[in-house]
Amino acid sequence: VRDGLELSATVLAKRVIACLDVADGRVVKGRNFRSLRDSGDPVERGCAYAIDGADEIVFLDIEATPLRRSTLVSLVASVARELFIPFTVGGGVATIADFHALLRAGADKVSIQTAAVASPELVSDAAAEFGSQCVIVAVDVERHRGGWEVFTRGGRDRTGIDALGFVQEIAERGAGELLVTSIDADGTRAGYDIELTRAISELVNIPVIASGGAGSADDIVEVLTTGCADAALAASIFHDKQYSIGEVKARLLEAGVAVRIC
Amino acid sequence: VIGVVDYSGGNLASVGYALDHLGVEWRRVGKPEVLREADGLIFPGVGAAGPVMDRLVLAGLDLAIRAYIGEGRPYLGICLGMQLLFEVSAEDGASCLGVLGGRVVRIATRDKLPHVGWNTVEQSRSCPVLFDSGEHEDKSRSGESVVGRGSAGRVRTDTPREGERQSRIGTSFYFSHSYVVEPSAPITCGVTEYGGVHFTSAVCARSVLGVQFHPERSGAKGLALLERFAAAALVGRACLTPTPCDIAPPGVFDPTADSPAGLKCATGWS
Repeated sequence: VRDGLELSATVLAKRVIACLDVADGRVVKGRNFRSLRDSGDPVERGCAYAIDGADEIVFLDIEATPLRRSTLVSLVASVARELFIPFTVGGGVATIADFHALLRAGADKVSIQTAAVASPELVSDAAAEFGSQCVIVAVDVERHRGGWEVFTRGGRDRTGIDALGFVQEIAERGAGELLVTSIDADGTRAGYDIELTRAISELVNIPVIASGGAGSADDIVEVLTTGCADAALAASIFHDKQYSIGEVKARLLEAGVAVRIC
Repeated sequence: VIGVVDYSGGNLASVGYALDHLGVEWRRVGKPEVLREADGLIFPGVGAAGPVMDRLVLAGLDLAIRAYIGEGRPYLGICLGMQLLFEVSAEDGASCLGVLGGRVVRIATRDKLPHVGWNTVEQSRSCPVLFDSGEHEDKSRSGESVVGRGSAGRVRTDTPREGERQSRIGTSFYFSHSYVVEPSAPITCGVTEYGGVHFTSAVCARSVLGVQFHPERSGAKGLALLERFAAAALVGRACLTPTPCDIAPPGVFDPTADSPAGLKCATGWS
């Protein structure tokens, strides 16, 4: 007996995700993976975004080293005490023990990048241990010879690995979501790499978060429709108060995209 | 005091922080003895069914939780904490607690899995703890909801009747899962759709409540749900649902049967 199950007409909302780059426990602002400056308290910023309607927050420690892991764990604990929407944390995560520490401190998801390239079995191991839903693989890619090449170390090192092949392997290994950043588009505010997001979203059967290049609310509409992304991540347009998350959601709603309104 | 099951693997922290935020006293339940003093028990679950069941068995918590529920004491299972109440899970082929009749299956969709993000829960049966009275009335669109035509998504495979979506706005909660429960008794009280599949997103059967979504990650509406559960548990309302449910299959503990002697079951409270 599946009682009442035919009643429903609901839909999964497309997500708008605000990203905060952090270094040594503070929010910093980056452009094309370089140049940083201190601009605030991550907990305060995250909560402000949540009130404004962000569906999730991503905290990326862009200077993470094993020595600073404890700083990141205590940041996660401070965030989790105040923020009651899902959040992801990433930066320098390389072992199952890192996953454990960050999840235990209250992170909902952990993102890995360089380690997923260096040792893809970490993806399978983490998915088996903690469940796919908390394993986010961040893939930074740059256009190269008609395709896309995977970069590691926050966009600094080229790997010679083809992005489309790589994301397929990662999805098969049990990653829960892909966070795909276009290095070409990042920081330009000229729009997401729609072709890239679409190619990956159609290739893998796990959610794709598009990142890099958001300059307007219409860019977000485009990547969630034409780009087939499941979620759109943006940093600077929210950071600089160019758009509020509420304004972006209103624009999405106008365009007929299902969003969560709060 | 509210007990929170600690199987050293998951999102205990976020549930604990949510209860702290609400000013609710809570304690980790890592071994059976601690269950004795709990007025209510929350089992927050993330992770895979098999390893978590193994840890529960190792700690002796499987039998303790069964006994706790058998006494008709208030229980709220979140995500895996709801799934483990059933008999068996297709995830790892794990044998679960068998407190409720039914099984756990992978969502039968060709769309992307896991089902991650904010989706709407429609109340298919009244439950004053899981759903605030009036939360699901048609009167307003001011609550947190997922709205939009959904035409941009790839999730819809059927077309709702004209105006159906507008008139059936439920409450939006955060989901993150690939498996869903299929109860064998009509204990479903919340329904959600993903990828053309309608699945049970909330169950209630007397003192046993379960949600597939994460109230501790669902903003103000989620915190309100946890607050209602804690409040109901702390005043000793063992019966959390106003309507009696049908009987679970033989051999499986039946939380809907007549209450054990001495149990306070305030049927019809709201």
